[in-house]
Amino acid sequence: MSKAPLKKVMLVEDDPDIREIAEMALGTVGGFEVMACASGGEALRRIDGFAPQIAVIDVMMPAMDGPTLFASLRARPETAKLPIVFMTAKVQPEEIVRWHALGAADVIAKPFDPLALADRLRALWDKLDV
Amino acid sequence: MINPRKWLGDRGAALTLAALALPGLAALWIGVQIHLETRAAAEAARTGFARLMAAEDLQGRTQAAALTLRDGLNDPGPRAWDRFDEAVARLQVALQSLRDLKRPEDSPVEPLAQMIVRGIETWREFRELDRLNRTQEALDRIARSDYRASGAQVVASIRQLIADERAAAIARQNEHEINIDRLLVWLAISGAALACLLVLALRMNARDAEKRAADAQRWRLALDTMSDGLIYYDEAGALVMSNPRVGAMFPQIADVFVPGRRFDEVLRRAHAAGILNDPAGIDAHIERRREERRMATQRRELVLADGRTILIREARTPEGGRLLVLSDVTAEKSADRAKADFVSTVSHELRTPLTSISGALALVGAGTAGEMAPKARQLVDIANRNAERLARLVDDLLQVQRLEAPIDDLKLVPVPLDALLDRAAREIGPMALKRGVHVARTGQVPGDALVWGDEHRLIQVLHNLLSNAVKFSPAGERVELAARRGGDHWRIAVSDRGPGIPPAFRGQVFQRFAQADSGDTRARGGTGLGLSIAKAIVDKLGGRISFETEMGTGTTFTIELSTAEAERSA
Repeated sequence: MSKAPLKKVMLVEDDPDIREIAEMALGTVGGFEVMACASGGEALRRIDGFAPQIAVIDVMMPAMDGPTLFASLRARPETAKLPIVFMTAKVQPEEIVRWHALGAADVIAKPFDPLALADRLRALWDKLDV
Repeated sequence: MINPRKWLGDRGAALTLAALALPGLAALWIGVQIHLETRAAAEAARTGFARLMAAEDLQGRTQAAALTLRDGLNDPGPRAWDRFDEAVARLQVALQSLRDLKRPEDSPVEPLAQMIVRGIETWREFRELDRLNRTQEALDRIARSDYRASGAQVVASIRQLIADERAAAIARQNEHEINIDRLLVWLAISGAALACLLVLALRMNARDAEKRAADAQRWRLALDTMSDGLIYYDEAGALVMSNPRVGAMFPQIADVFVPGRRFDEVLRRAHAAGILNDPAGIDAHIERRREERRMATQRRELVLADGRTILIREARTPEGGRLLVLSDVTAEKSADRAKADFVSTVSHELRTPLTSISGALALVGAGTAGEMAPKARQLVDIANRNAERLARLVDDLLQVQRLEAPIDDLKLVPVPLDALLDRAAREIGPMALKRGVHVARTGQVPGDALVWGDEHRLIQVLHNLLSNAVKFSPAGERVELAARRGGDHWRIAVSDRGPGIPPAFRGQVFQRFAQADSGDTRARGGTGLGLSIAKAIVDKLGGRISFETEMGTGTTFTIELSTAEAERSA
């Protein structure tokens, strides 16, 4: 079966420095079109206009955290099947297991390798049955 | 049955037995001696009385013979002589029976007997003359003879004999009575001595009992004031004692901790009061606890409905009873949790800036932000390497904290050994390649060999050992990974040909942040936590870790894990 190559990635990260680096890793290094949001609210406002193929979401964020955003996205018919990758600095095995159990497509531990991030998403995209 | 131990105490009983043994034996010996003497004296007295009677009999016969002779001499004739003959015969018999009774050498019986014999012989001569019809001649000879004097002498001798025998018999009787008195006195003395010993033993026992009571009171005080609860069940599962702390820990069921209460009854009450909440149910819980009683020691944590955590340490006593020590570890537990939360938070807080630092450095290093001067690249590489090290340190810190925590997420399952070693060797490959070190598996491990462990953790242990070995190997050298079976375990060895561990450092190899040379951290890029983590994991898996090292030759780290082949076939 043939599917469109991964082009559009939404990034939700409250830390501006990490957001910048992740954006460069995905955009400059990975060649994706990236929509970087600083909060869950911003992501929900802008997502329909962008229509990402994958969302990379930080777990720990003020106001709306990653799992809440995850639930909101799942609740909307337009984004109910959007593959979501969590990014977290809490890397204990039980945390990782928890996000997988919730339905995350993948969990990326911080600090991540910015040179390998895009490749990892691409590999994940190829594996996913969207 | 009287139990001397009960009355006298151990020491009193032993002392009494020892004290009784010697005087008892002496008393027995002396008693036997006195008894023998008494018996001999009684025998002598009996013989003496027999002699006295024989002497009196002789006196009677002698008097009868004398009277018969006097009658015969007054009215001579064959009938009179016949009567006299008869009296003489009786006299002879009496004399013989007196002689038959044993006499002392100086006894006056023999001269007396000879006098009587002489008289009898004289009479026989007279009878012979009479038979030859020379009666007158015989009478004359008798008249001439001093038979009266002789008879008087015989009578006097017999009297004397009788007097002597009587005196001797009385003396013997006295001696016999004295012996009996001695025996009685001796019995009284030994009885008194025994009574004294008994009193002494009882007093010692009283002192022992006082000492024991004081000891018991001290122990009681110690048990009453200790901050841990203590329960002792006997081998039949009945409560023997508990200290007040137990009741204070479980006020709802404080009344259940009384001697004689059975342990399943205590558990049932605890269950009914909501203290125990085994999802398997109280019957299954009791059954399991019964099974566990076979184990020498036990450690169990009980989380109560009110949130307290009670640590129960259980030990089997030599008699088969169970001693339970209950400690309220709620504070320690919450401190543990707080520490775990703190480490987790800190590591998260450290990771966030680290993500930016290492991410930025990686992107700059990769030229994402444009070309760099070679000197700048060198500096960025240094920063990058150290950012990586910092990230590893944060990982290791979290790891150490996790291994310290009592929450145990290790899954003990049979792990295929050959595949485990292959994976460990494969995963260390890139790092070894970078340093020009060759990692080789040596020896053969059967494909079906299994060890008890947690695959993920075992890989981590082997990774730590192998990365150490690689770090300390000179370029071009070999690191060997081998496994060999020994009894019921597998020994997995990681050997390097590095510089060896300096003797002064060998004792601290498994301590955290321990590195032989502080320059190592910089030079080799370790965090100083790898071996302490490896040891913590191996310990948790119930295995052993050790090392052998020689300066200039190399080091071999060995982990020993139980084999699990039997489990697969079972």
